[in-house]
Amino acid sequence: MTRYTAVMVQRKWEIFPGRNRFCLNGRLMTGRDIGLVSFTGSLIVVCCCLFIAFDGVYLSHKLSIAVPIIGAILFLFTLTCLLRTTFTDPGIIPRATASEIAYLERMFIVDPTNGDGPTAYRPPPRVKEITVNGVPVKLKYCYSCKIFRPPRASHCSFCDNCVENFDHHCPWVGNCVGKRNYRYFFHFCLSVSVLCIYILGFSITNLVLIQTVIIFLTRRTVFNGIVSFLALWSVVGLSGFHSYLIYNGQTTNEQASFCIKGSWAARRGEATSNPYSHGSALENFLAVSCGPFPPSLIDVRGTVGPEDEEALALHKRATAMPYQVGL
Amino acid sequence: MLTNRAVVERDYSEGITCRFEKSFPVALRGKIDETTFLETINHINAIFAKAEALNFRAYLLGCLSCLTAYSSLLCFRTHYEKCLQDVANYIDEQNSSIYEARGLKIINPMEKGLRVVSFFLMFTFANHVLSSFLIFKFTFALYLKDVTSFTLAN
Ligand SMILES: [Zn+2]
Ligand SMILES: [Zn+2]
Repeated sequence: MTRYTAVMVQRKWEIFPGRNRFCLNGRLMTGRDIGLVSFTGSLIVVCCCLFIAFDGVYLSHKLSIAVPIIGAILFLFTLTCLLRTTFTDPGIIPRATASEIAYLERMFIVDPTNGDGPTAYRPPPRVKEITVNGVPVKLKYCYSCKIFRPPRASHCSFCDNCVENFDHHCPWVGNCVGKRNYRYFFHFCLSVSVLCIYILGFSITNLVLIQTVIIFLTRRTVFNGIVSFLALWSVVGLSGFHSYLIYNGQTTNEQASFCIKGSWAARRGEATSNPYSHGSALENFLAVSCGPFPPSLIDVRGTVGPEDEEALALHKRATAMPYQVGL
Repeated sequence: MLTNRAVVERDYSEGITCRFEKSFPVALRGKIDETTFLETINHINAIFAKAEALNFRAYLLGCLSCLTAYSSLLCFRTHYEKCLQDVANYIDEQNSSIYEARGLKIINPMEKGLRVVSFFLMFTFANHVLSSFLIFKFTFALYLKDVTSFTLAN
């Protein structure tokens, strides 16, 4: 009997409301579309293997054994960062539990003394105003997750989740980039830039060194060189852009909205600094690259309990009638 | 209004690190005194502050895991995870030593995605009698105060 129930156990990832893929019984998670990330991954693997196997081996005779070894280390680091970005929970905020929805509903009951009668409910307030380090910030209510989003969080429309420190949804890595995987993403950008420069540099060196006629070797080298040359522009641009963002302590999401609404300073009409910046550019860089590792807030490997099912039902009902919460 | 839980929300006034508000929830009034409550919240805040501190130790650990291409994360628990264990232990200990005797139970913030620390009010009979008594006492005190102020004014 006990064994039987153990088999029947349902994990939370099986009823997870967002559009994510889970592998290995919820140990790994990623976004819905993995087409482009497979392309990114295989391009890196193919180029690096060709480089190490042919140019690397040739150059190890001509120049130094360090050329293929450093190449291999760079390649492994890049690949790890890519896999980490793709398969890490980006910092998804769990949706409201049944008791939290009940608590909010109670707050939304319109006071019968000033208006619409005793049974009237009003839609949840759209924003909650707070101050972060002295700068006024509006917390928006998320109608999908039934929570007030924390500062800097945003709802990813691809994955249908609220994500902490949401940067952007990157189709090239097939996942959102947020609080928990921004570090891996940034390191991926940097290492892939270095890798491109490395491969391009040594492909050119190789072509200069051979000069002669080993056509089949040359063809691969030229292929590698062209791929890394083409990738270089976008990748170096991306690294530069993210370094600039880290320098300012911003996210891509904030940068994009500033283009529309103006910066922190313009918002208040006086000079205010970014409330999320850690102070200096170096501190921002260290906080992103070597800061603490925040935990995953979604317990996808936990077993489904009655409260989870209740919450799921409440969310479903609320999606059907978005303004009738509580009725 | 009867609520079966009191919630303490996140306090973002000093940045987006994990901190909880220190305002005493109305629903806990009469169940526990404010100093005990503040002690609990301050202690939880302190553990989270330690977990998210940006200091030399955090940078060193971050650098080391980066240098091992993050493979060290597969083998060791992170500093944050250890701190979360501390929070869980502290909450268990507080529940059994102080809160349960007063019909309260602290719910670990990790269960609510670090949004709130909630205090579950357990509705036992004794508790109910106690709260009725407190309401009675409160009303009576108000009445007495009214009477005295009335007599004083005259
Ligand atoms: Zn949301
Ligand atoms: Zn996404």
